[in-house]
Amino acid sequence: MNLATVIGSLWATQKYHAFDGMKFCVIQPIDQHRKPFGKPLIAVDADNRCGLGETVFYVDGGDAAVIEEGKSMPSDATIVGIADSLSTDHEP
Amino acid sequence: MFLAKVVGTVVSTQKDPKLAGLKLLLTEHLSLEMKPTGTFAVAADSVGAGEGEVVVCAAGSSARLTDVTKNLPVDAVIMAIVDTLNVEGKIVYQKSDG
Repeated sequence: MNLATVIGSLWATQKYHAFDGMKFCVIQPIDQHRKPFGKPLIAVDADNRCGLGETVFYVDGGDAAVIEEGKSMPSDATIVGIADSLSTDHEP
Repeated sequence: MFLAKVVGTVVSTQKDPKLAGLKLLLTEHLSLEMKPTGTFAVAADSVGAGEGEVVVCAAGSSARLTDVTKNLPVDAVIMAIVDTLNVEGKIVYQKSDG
């Protein structure tokens, strides 16, 4: 899983049916010190819990497609949790 | 997923036989400022997208998980048409009604 900050939202009424009831977020990948790196991307927020500015973690690639057993969706980035806090001894 | 604009259609008579009947569109990646990036991708369409529309595409093995691309040799699929894109509290794109 990777860390990211939610920087925006995307609305789409016409979407593949597996995404019905789900929201899309624009996220910016960040490092352990919450410093942005790489390009922003669009991720599925399966539980509609994410808000602007929140730190989240997401799965990418083929692993993002299955969040429930037996159900799959054409997603290559899915938010699976919100980080309440982060702590590390790693110095920047 | 990446943000892209549909800039054309791809017509192909000689292709993998499994791809028969699949709608293939030419898409150009967009930045969050809605600027074309010069990177293009041929993507299968699962939502009925048309030229000029701003869409969201899934890449890699996930692209094979729609009804129209199931078990096909495809690595990019259009899975949403963008109505509104909001970045840092600003609306950067809104689909026109027309």
